[in-house]
Amino acid sequence: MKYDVVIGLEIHAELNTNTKLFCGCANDTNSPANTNVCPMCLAMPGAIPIVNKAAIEKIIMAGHAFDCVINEKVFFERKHYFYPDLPAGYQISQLAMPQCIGGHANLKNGKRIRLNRIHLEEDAGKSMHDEVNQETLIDLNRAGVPLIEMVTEPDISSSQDAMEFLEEVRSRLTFAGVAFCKMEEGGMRCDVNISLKPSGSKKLGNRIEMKNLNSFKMVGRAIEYEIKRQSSVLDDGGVVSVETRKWNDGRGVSLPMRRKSGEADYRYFADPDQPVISIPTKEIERLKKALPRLAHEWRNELSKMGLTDYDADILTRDKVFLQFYMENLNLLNEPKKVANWLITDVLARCENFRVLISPKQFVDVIKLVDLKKISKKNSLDLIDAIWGTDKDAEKCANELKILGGIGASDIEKIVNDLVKQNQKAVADYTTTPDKVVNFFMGQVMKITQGKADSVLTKEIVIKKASSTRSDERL
Amino acid sequence: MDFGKMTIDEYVKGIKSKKFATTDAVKTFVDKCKADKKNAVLEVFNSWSERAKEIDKMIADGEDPGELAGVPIIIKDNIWYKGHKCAAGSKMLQDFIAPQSAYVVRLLLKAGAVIIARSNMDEFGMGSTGRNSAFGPTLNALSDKHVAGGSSSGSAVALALGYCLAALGTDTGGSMRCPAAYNGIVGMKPSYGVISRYGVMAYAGSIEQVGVFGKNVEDTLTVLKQIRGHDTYDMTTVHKKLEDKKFDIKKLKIGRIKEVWDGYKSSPYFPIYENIFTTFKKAGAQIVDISISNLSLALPAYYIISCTEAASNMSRLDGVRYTKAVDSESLDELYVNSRTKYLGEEVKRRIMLGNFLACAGHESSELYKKAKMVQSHVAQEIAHAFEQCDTILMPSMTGEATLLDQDKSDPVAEYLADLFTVPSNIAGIPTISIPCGVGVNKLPLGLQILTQKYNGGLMFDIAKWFEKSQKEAR
Repeated sequence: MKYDVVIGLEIHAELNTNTKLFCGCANDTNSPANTNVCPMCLAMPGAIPIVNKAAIEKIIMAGHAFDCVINEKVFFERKHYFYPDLPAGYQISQLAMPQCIGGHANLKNGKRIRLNRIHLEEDAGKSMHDEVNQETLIDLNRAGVPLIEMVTEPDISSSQDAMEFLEEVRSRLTFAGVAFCKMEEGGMRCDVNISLKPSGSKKLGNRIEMKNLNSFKMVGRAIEYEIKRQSSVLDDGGVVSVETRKWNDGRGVSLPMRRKSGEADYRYFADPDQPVISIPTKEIERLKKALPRLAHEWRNELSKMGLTDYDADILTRDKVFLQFYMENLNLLNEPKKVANWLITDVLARCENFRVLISPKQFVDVIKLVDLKKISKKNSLDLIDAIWGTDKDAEKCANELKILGGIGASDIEKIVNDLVKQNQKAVADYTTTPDKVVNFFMGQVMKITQGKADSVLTKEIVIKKASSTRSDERL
Repeated sequence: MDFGKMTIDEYVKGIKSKKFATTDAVKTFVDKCKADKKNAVLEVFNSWSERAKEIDKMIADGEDPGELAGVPIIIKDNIWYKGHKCAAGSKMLQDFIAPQSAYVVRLLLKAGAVIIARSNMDEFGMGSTGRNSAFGPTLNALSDKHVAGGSSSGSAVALALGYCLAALGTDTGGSMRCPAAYNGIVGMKPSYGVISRYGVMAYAGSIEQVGVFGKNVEDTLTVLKQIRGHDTYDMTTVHKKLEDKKFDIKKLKIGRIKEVWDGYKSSPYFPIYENIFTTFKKAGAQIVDISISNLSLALPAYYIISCTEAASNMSRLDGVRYTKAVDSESLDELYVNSRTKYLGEEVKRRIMLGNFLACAGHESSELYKKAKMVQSHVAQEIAHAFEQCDTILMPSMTGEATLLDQDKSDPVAEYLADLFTVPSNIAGIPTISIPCGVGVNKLPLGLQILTQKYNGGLMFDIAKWFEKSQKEAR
């Protein structure tokens, strides 16, 4: 039987504020364990929250990035559950009044994926289970870090669409400047709700929730697996049980998670420690105007600069990567050439789009090739050699003994010799400069068998001829 | 010299004019604390002598230590004083050391006060007898057979017996006014939001305030002035000045709530309060009969709100951090075992009640929200009543202090004791309890003076007038 696949995503992203959501501790989960903590995020009895304005601004920006309706009230509730890495025994979150309502993003095929909501909450700490010593250690650096939760409507119908949508979310949040979305570090997390229904049927089937998905690819693999699993259950006339499943990427299977009897009851109610805050409409509008250019807007911009859709697409995959590209244009204003180099030669060396050389190093390499001082083939070795260092490209090429062709220093040496041998021609420079320059250039080309760069040669000749003339006057 | 009999004004003048040294004066109070037979003091802070020397040095150096120079103050066991134990009357927190000082404590210290001890209390503020402390009951200042009243039992008794010149407590449903009335002293709670709750262990934060006990109205006001004001670390605090208008008894309109008075007519204490109204009337004040038809809803609303919040606030006491780990086979067992062992009966009862009320999926699941709606309704009705009068007078408690060995098996009977105190917390208005005579057992009775929100200045003026008229009558 043929089935329609119905997928909804719950995406969590840590906001990149300087400090935590309800206290002044650094929002930095990479510090030594339990160093970014205070009475508030340790939930000591007596500590009370003070909400971080930057976090409110950032979730509003996130909302604008997806065309959400922004709630003008900030209202927090407590969501209760016991776990050792949740020090208060509750998480301060938003249920009844999410900060952002609705919203959407389109896939490249034009399909619209609607959001149900984006809400703000605090993250819990991290539990680390030591299987050998049978111990659990807790790091509360992450406790209280501002987190947004985005919930989609069940508009996604394939693993490809799910992955593309996640990519789009990451793109929008990073371009909006509100989150770093480092999935590998837990800065972005995704749970998948998936169900099947007979093709064309209106009635939704039983759905499962999939957890433990640590990369976009894992999301794709888990969905593919789950479609197969549920199809075969349904084909056999069975019923898919409503449950939470955990993805095991190593084995490529999902397994039901152990569950307690009965539904979890989070006993939500308004956080008594905080008043409801009103945000002026003007402020919401100001944040809308302050929203940085998003990836799809950048793509239009890049097309106008003459780049292909393919180039524009790749360059806008990552905000920092795009910034690197734009910085190069300040040094070498040839958009297409820089884009080609970046996409074909540099990107392959990047991990997560991080370019580990400076724009100057990169442009120097391009110029060395343009000047034929190194071959295109050797330029790749040069990039490898300067990758992750601050070495000067030309010096490094010299050390690698790949600096060939006729360089500026070679041309200078030749011109110096020629000037000595042709004093008369130099003397004519005042009266017939063009003629003299052409003469010397012809000589250089003859000696170098046309390998010297003509623009560079002309520059050197003019410099030498004019300075020599000055010398004589003295 | 009996420092205990001095007013704060006299005492501070004595300190500042070097008539006596802080160290000598405070020592007499500390000695009284150490000889405490009422179980009012949980711990004398040894730091008192260093602190007293500091004040003496400032005086010697010609510096001004502040409005409370050298004044010995006792704080309730739920208020943080950095580096000192703070247990909220609970075994669960018997080893907890305050990581910082509460904002009120910082303000007291800034004004030159010497904090000499922490006082006994009903565990986490849950109780109106002083019997619910893990460290044993506090005895009434005037009778070893009667309760001290609660929950700020120890602070009230300590002040009544002259262990200090002022004491801090907290008031969630009457916890200042009940023990003030039972021990024959002045005790007040301010308007909600006037005093910071930062560093005060919450029982029910949305209705709870810190309050002051004093021997007389002036002392109480002197201390209140030092600790009130907006705090950036408590979002529920407000910027409100204590207004100081000219007081004229002849222009005062006193509200007498029909719903209170009709029910109280059969009480043996009724004539005492009738006389008070007569006193005011004779002085030229006008008595206005008012009706607050939904006043009877204040008590049930209070218990729903406070139990729901308490259950949530107590969630952090999960046995993971604040006690020695109780041997347990599983995480769930750890929670159950620690909470069973370290929390008192009344606390457990209110946790059960609160969690039941907050649970979804049964008839009462929306009760917190409904109780909050009732709260705002009653608050509006009370605010409306203040359009007809300037103040409302009523008994603090239904009668005198109850017997210490009274049956504990009917908690609801005990809850009913808060009948007259709870409306002020529900409405967030300022209320003071002032001694107004003795009852059939020769134990003190209290009169409550209620004014409009943020109109505490008037409340103090009326209290001062009444205090004076009583002195003159004697």
